[in-house]
Amino acid sequence: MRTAFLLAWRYLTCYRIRTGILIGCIAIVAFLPLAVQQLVGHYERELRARADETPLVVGAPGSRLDLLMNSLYFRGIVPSTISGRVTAGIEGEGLGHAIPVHFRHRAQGHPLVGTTFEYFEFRGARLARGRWPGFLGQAVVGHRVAEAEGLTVGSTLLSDVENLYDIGASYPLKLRVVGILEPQGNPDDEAVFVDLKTAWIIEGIGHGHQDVDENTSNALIMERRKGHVATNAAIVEYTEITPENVDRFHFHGDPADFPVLSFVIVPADDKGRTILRSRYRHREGVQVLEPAQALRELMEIVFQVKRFFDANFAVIGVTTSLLLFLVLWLTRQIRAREFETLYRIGCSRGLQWAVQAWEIALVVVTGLGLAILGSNAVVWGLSTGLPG
Amino acid sequence: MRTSVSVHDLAFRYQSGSYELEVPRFEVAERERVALIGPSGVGKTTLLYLIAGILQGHRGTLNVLGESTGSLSESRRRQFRLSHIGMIFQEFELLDHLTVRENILLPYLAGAEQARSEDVMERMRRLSARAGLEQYLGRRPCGLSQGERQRVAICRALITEPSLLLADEPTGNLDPATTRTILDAVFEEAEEHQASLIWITHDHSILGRFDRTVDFLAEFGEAS
Repeated sequence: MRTAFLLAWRYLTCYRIRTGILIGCIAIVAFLPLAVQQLVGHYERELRARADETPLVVGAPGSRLDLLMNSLYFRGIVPSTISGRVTAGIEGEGLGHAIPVHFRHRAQGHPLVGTTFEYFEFRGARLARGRWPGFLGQAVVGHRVAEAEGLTVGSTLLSDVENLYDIGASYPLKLRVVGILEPQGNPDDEAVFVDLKTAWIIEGIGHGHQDVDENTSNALIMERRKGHVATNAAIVEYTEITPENVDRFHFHGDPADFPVLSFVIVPADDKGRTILRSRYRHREGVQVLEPAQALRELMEIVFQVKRFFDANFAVIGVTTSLLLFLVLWLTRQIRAREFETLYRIGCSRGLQWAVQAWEIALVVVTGLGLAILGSNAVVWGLSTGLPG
Repeated sequence: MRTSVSVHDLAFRYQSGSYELEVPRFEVAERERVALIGPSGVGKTTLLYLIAGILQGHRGTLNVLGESTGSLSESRRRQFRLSHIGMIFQEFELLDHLTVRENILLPYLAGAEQARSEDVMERMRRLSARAGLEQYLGRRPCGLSQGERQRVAICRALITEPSLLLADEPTGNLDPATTRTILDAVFEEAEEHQASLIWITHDHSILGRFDRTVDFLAEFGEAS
């Protein structure tokens, strides 16, 4: 056995280029299915973990998968919203409680999520540094956002302007970072969290501007009537909320009617869950989804696509195996004299087969090893950019 | 005098059936050096392979070093060859992916009875020194000259101190000076270990150095 290994090792290391090509072929052919398998597995685990810990989500009617991706993973944009009225009363009835999740904007490219403190409690999020936001215009950021933007407590970041050429749109709001979350291993790591009201200000529902009264310059006034003054666009709107100007921020309308992307519903118990699910299922203008079930539907689609890839990889694998078999067979023809010499000297025919078996084993194991290492490296690399 | 090789009425036929060799009687005495001559294709190499146990006759008796090799199993014949017979081939048949040292020690790697002991290493060093190969031991044979490669092959054949040396035209591709050097080395080793020697050659200028010359065609006729 030792002799066979030595002879095989010497042969492979002597003809390095030939050996390298064979190993490379095996590594490439094995790498693709392994990487896809690992990536799908990784995505599935991460997505499932998030979905499994979220009992119910209530949002506007439309695509279930869009609502799922938007509310849990902060991916994509759902144009429809609901108001806080849809969840009114559930706490009073003791059925559970609703946590608003309002994701419509971004801050320096990162998802900007308006929510309440309950969200952090529900997700079990903890602060690595700083404190929770208790003030309009304050934000806590996920640890990857902090890393990517070089943010610390006291830093600021800007909400993104949705359309650069829309001069009627609201200005970007400067947000002050008051806390940085501990690494969670979920999409929260990549999000910027603000108070729900701050999110509405960014949306333009609330705003702050310089005081307007009878003494205000006419240059800023569009219309002046008794008890009502309408200003024009020349009025200075605040782009940062500070202790000095916070009192000048206000909302027009009833906050109960303000838009919210969705609510995470946390039922008090199984009974509450059943009642709430049934209630929202029959209610017009909303849809309720159980994330775990919706995710299963999504993964079914993913697996259908993966099955196609698997079949493709299988065909490539068989083709490559046949080519490798041909290479080995031709190699044996070329090396017939070498093996015959070994036999004439006194080696058994079995040793010859053992040498070739070792060669195949070394090449295949090295190729597969490289493929496994490569796929792990790719998954590790990509996972840093994945939602969780 | 005792015989090293004794062949009686030996017949061999290749599986294709197109070639049959018959050797009525052929003997080589202990320590005898026999040159085997004859035109190509008459069966000289086949006879050598029969004696080595690489091929097996379908009739007759063959006694090598006191062992009736025809009655041995394939495995026993192989072991017998590995331990008692040294073979030198015309094309050297070295393994280019092994070093010169490993090529010389190949019979031990292949499982010769003796372990790869300090004695063997000492013998390898002595043989390679006598063949002028010490500086090449760590190199691969592909970079060596024809003469050097053949010397490696001879060292490989001699490393087990065989009692019978079978050489299949080993100097056929070498110049006269190298041929002389190699003959000297082999004869010296054979003498030292009291080994018998059967040497196929087409070079009539070296026949005088052998104890006896057997003209294959005259002795056994052409294989049919």
